[in-house]
Amino acid sequence: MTVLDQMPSIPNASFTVPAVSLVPDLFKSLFGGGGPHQRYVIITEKGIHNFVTHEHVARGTGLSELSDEGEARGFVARLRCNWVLYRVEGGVYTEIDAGGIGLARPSIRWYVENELATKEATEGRTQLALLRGVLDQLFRILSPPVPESYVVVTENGIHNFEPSTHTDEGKAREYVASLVLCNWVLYRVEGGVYTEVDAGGIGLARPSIRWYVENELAPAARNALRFKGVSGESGGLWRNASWFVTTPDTAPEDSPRTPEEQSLEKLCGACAQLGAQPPSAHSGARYLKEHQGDVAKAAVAFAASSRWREEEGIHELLRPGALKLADPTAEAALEHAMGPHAMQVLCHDLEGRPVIFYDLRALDVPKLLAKGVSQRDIEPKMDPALHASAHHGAHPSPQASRSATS
Amino acid sequence: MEVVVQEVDSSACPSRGHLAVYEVREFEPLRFFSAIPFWTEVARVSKAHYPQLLGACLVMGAPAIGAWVVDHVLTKLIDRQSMGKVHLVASDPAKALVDGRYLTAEQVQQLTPYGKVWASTTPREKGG
Repeated sequence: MTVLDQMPSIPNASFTVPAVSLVPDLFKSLFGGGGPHQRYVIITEKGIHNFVTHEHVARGTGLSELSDEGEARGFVARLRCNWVLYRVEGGVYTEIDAGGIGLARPSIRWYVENELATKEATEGRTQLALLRGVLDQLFRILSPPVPESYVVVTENGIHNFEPSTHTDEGKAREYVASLVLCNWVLYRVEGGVYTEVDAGGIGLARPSIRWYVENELAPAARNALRFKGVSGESGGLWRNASWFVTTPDTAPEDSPRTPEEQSLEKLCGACAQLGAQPPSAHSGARYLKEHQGDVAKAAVAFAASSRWREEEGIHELLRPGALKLADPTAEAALEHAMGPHAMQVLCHDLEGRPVIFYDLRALDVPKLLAKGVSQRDIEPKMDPALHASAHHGAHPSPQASRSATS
Repeated sequence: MEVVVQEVDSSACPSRGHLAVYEVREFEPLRFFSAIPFWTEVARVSKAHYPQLLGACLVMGAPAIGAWVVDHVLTKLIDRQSMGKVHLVASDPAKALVDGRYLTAEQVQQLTPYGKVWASTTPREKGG
C-alpha cells in the first residue's frame, strides 16, 4: 500500500490522467513496498504467550515463506502442538484451518488479531510515518526552541506521585537534598520527552516512579504538546510547553482538554438529556470504549444500565446480609459452594490490574437448585448485581425465599 | 461485579480492567453444560451493564474439552474481543502466572504456600 492509498479520496477529482497515475509508482520507488501479496502463515504457541510462526520452526529448511496452501498443509501435518493456519493478503489475516493437540487456539487467535495483524498494519503505514517524520523535522526547525525543565518525582504513599518542576538542574538538586527519607527520580524534560538524570533516596519506590512517569506523566505531556500544536489556540507549537508538569492543583485553568475528556463531557451531556445521572470518569470511559467512542450509543447504553440498576434495586443487594436465605439447609449449601472463598481480591498484577480469584470448584448449580437454592440466589454470590437479573432468568426457583429480616 | 468495579476504579490503571483467575479443577464439564442458562445470564449482564472490566482471564486447571467449549460454546455467549482475553491453563497455575508475566515469582510465592489460592478454600477478609 502506498502513501497515496492511505490518503482520503477527493470527491469529483479525476486521477485517471497518466501523469498523476504515475505518482503512486514514484512513491513506491522512493519508499519501497509493493502490491497485495498472498502468503500463508502458521502460528503455534510454545509455552504461555510464546507465539511462534512457522518461519522460526522451519528456519533453514527453505520454507520460510509459504505461498501455496498445499505446502502449508504439508507443514502442519508434521506438527503435534496446536496450530492455526492463516492466509495473509495485504496485511489481512484470514483463518483457513486450525488443529493439533492442546488448548492454545484461542490464545493464538487473540495474538494474531491483536498483535500480529496490528504489527503488519503498522508496518504498512511506515511509508506514511516517514513522510510525517520529515514534516515533524520541518516543524521542529521552524518552531521556537523548547524550554528545558527539570522535574523531581517522589512517591508519598502508595501511588501518590508528586512531581516538582524546576527551571535548572541546580535548583532541582537543591530540592532533592531537602528531601528526607523518600525515593526520588530526577528527569530532564524537553519537548515532552522525559530523560532520567539521577535517582536516589531511601526506599523501594523508584520502579513505581519510573512506571508512573513512563505511562502517565510523559504521555500526558506529549498529548498536551500535540494538542497545543494542532489547535494553535495558544499561539505556537511549543508555547507553555512546561505547564503539564505542574501538579493538578496548580495547573492553569485554561489547560486544554484531551479528546477523551471532551468525549466524556459530551457523554455526560447526552446522559443528562436521556434523564440519567452522569457517569463517573472511569465508568464513562468504559462505556465509550465498549462502543468505540460513539457518544450517542454509549449514552443510550449507560442510561439503560442506570434504569436497570434502579429497577432491580442493586444498591439494596449490596447491603450486608441482604443475600442471606431463610432456609438454613439451602443457606448452608450455598455457603459451602459460594461462600466468601469463592471470590477473593488477591493483589495487583504487574500491569497494576487487580487480580480477582474465583473458586468454582465447589459450584454445582443443578445440585444447589435441587437443594432449594434458586439461580437468583447463586448469581449474586459471584456478582451482587446479578441477583436482580435472575428475576428474569431461566431458572427461577421460588422455594428458597429470602428472610424478611435480612 | 460491584466489587470488581470498585477494585478496578481504585487501581493504578482503571482502563486496563482486572485479571480474573478462575479455578476450575475438579469442575466436571457436565456441571458446566447443565448450568448453561446460568452462565448465559452471567455473560449477558456482564456485557450489558459492566462493560470493559475484563483485562485478562485465566482458567486454571481447564479440562481437555476446554478448547472445544471455548470454540463452540463460549463464542456464542461472549464477543470475539472478550474471547481473546480468555486463556486456558492446563498446567501448573503458579508457573502460568509467572511465565505469562502477570505476577512476579515473589508475589506467587506469597500467595501459594499459605493455601490462600491453590491449596484450600479458606475464606479471606476481602470476600465478594
